[in-house]
Amino acid sequence: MAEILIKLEPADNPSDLLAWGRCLPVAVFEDGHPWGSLERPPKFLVVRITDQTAAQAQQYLKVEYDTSDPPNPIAIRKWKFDIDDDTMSNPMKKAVGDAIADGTILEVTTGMINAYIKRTT
Amino acid sequence: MADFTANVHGVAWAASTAYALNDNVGNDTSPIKIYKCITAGTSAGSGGPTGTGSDITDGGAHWAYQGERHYTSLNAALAGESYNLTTNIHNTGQAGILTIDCYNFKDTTPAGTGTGYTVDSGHYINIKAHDSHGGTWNESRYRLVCNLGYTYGIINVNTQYTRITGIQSYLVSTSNSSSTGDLLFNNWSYAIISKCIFRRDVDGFGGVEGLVFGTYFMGPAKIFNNIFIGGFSQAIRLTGAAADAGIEIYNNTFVRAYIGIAASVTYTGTISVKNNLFYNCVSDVTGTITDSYNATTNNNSKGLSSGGTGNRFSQTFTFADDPGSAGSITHVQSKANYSTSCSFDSNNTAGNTIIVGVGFSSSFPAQEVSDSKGNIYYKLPAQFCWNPAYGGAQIFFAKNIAAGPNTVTVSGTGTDYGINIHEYSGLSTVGPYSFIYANAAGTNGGSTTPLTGQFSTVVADSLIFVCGADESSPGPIYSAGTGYLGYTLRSSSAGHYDASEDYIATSIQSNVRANFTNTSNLKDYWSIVAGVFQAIGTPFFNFHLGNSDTGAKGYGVSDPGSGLFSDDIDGETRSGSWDIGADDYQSGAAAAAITGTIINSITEADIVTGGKTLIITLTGDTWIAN
Repeated sequence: MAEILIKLEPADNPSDLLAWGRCLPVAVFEDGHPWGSLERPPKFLVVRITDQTAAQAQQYLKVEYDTSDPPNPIAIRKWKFDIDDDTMSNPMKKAVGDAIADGTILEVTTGMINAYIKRTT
Repeated sequence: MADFTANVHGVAWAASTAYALNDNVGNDTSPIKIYKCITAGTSAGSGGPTGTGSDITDGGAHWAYQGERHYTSLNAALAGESYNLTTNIHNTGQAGILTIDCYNFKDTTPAGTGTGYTVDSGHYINIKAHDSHGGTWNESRYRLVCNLGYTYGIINVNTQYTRITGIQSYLVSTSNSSSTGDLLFNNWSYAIISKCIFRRDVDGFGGVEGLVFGTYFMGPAKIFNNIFIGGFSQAIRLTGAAADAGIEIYNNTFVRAYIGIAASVTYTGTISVKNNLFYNCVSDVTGTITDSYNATTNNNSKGLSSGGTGNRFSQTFTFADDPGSAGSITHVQSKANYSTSCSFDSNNTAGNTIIVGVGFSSSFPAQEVSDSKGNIYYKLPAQFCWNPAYGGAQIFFAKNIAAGPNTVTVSGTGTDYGINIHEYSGLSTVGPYSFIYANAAGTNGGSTTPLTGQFSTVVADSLIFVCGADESSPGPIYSAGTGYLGYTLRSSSAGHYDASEDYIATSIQSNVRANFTNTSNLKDYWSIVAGVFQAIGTPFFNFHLGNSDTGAKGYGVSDPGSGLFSDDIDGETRSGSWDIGADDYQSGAAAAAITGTIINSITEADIVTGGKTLIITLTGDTWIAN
């Protein structure tokens, strides 16, 4: 199983793709990771993915860049975990108030895909 | 002002485990805490340190409480503390400096500041290692080790005024694609980066750069006392057109970068590049820095295959870990084919090295090499003919290969591929200490003799491998240069020439050139590339000036009148002066123990009033007070 650390607090400038905004994946580890004292609500939520390894879940940290101008790469897409989306399972929604929530990769990625940030430039 | 320090550490305490001095672990609850090992030993079978004591017994190990463990990765700390630091640091409603204190552990999550911070000159992000790496890559200290492929930069800084001190950063990715990311990308201004080690073991000089200042970086910046190790295409890349850059690059050491410091566009501000060491880089400083560029450079370069003239010192220097000679480089077998694939006649031996010389036609093609054993190939830059239609030559290599039958294949956008494949034993299987590089091409109407630029080897036992091509038809007839052995020179039916030769040196070769000779169809369409591969030698990680160095160490003292060493921005002078290159020493800890024998037993009163002399005989290595 993998555990994903997800930001809960909003950024001051949420429209900026590079800002550490609400619902962005921050780190991925195998389950049982000894999370820090601040890696929990209200700053973060840990989602435990029951059917993926940490190596598989690393993909959700991926940021897609436009590198057509190599010295000036532009972030164009990144994963976002849509906790408030209706497509999320009830346990996932409930987990906002807890430290760790369990979900299958289908539940998690459904939420993520629905909130996949689009090209901004 | 309400400064906040976010502690980062990501390893839990473990039962019945041997711990070394200064190891850090996390344990206890409410909150989870960081402990530092103050007495090495094996931990207890359960429990672990708890509380806030300064000497907590845990089996044979003893621990001291360090603080609350807030985050388990640098990235989480940057994400969790993303506030307006001028008004609301740590969500306290006050202004302050955010220090992110990275304790001793291996962090594998790429980190980024994001753009959510609001900062100014007095309220900024200060990322630091809790304990110094001591100037040498240190597996017992904080290190950010990432195998990229999914982000752009191990540390991606997008916030002004950010300071980074003492961080070890290691790009593990074997890819040479520029899209896989730079080690650190900084797109804003007022950066201070010091005492860091940027490491990349992969040779091949692909598109991966070390420390990059992006297009919108406006300066100023101070970059000092850092060490850049490995096959970076450009260890420091300056891409922006800063209005008032004020960039100071002082006392850094660059090892085996293709280019040490490169400016790809014109800076209009002041850039000072001083007191740096460049070791086995193809070039030290390049680019279009045109205004106030202090390239009276006061840098020292060694083993450059180009450049190295003008304002550079010729002062010799010796690193603490200069590689030793190991000898026994042997050419095992070779084969050639005027095609895109070629098979060895005999099985490869595990641990050997395959070197491939590739000749090609067409205009500026890109090619890669693979083989049926799945070995990973790195490449030196291609050399193209002055007339692009006649292609060029390129060297690829794979280290520490697998055993068995093997077919090597080249793929790319070129035509008329001809490949020479060679297997060698006795070459270094680890990077980045395996090669330097020199190349050249003919000029229109110029010489008809393929001849590389000048280069030097740095250890006695080295392999100089040379690949040449002339894709005109009919091409010239090549033979090996003087002292070289041509293994697979070949003339195809089409008249193209794809040649290789080698020279196994047993002594250091200084300022030499490699060449082919030709006797017919003399033309100027030639391209030639040479790589120098070192024998297996002593692990080579300490890139500080060694105690035996008598040239560059303390050079500020020996040459006080030259004006070349007028300042040292780290302010940490050594022995009354400063050195060239990174000089962040591990004070004391690396010194040998001093033992002694008291020859005559006397009291203080004997010395003060009796005029007696205390004699102590000290043994052990000389203690250099760095």
